[in-house]
Amino acid sequence: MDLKDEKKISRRTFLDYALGGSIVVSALAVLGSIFTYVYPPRKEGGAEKAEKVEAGPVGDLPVGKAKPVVYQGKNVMVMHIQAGFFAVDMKCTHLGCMVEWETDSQTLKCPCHAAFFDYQGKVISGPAPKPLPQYKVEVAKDVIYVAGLA
Amino acid sequence: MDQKEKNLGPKIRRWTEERLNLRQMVGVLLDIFPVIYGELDQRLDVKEGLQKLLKKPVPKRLNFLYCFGGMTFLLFVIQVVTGILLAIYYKPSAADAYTSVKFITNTVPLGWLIRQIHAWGANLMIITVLIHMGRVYFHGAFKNPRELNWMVGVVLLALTMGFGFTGYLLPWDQKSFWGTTIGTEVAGGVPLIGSYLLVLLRGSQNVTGDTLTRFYSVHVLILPWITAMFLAVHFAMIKRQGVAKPL
Repeated sequence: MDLKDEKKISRRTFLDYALGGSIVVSALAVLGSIFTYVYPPRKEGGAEKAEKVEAGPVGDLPVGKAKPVVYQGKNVMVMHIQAGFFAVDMKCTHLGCMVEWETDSQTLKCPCHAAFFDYQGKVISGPAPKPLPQYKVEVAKDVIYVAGLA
Repeated sequence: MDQKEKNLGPKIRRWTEERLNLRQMVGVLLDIFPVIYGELDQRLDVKEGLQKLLKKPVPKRLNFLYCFGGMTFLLFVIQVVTGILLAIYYKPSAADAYTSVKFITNTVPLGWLIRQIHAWGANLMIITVLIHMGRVYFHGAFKNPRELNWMVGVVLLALTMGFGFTGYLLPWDQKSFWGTTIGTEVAGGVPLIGSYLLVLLRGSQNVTGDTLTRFYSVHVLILPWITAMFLAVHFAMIKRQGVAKPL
């Protein structure tokens, strides 16, 4: 395209373009935001979406041991004790540190301020104001599953 | 040095023009006007009416104080748009209302923005309505021959308040629950018919999920249409009578 013989734009035309352009830009910004809003967002969590998450085979978790799994974006500690399988949210209700499983005492301990919880998430001692939320555990064909809030 | 600077302007222009073809893109938009005034006008005769509407002269004496009616209408349009958007995700039931509002605020992209625009627009609308009304009052613009338009305006004020009152319940949190409890109790204080009025407003003896669906329906279906009709009358009359001269 030869642009050398292009005509000079008049002031009026330039202002027309500027006005038209800014109208287009503003309209696109508004329509774009509305589209972002209307497009269905991904649903996170929610009680109805209680899908199961695998926590490995039973054989890998002998009595007295525990292991962390991620369930719907949350860290959950799955524990195997004499009474069976249990799972609780690992986020300490005091200041949000991740609790650890103490094999010796068979309790959950928060490393930050030494809050202790039992296998059902109940507070034994320490600064935690509330128990840890408990999760359901299901075992099917020798595989452990975390299956939603208890 | 001089030579360089002289050449820079056309160079930049050519560079962007070659790549973006901006002129054509914007040009397409500007072609809409010829269509409206050309082909469309030939068939539907729109030019004269549009010109009359858009180029209607405004009296020179008007100042910022006269803008609040128009600002109220602009806010009303914004409330309609954001309200429709909120209705996409909002669920008017006792079980889902609060969670759906939380969902809009925290999960839906820009949901917080739409919700806040709706909430702020509601508050600002009350303010602009009152300023508009005060201006009309102190200018004496409600006097003959504009009494009827003043009355329509008072109805519009009541409708705006109705929007505020019914919308306040919809988030279904503690504040809206008790706000509605108290607000409806006021209706309960009316002599003789008060207790019936209370049940009519609440849909039951107490503020429950029945109240919520009731308020929702009034907020999004009944009030908007009544308001639109009164606005049309309000505007038709001001167009006919013109803006009043202050005393």
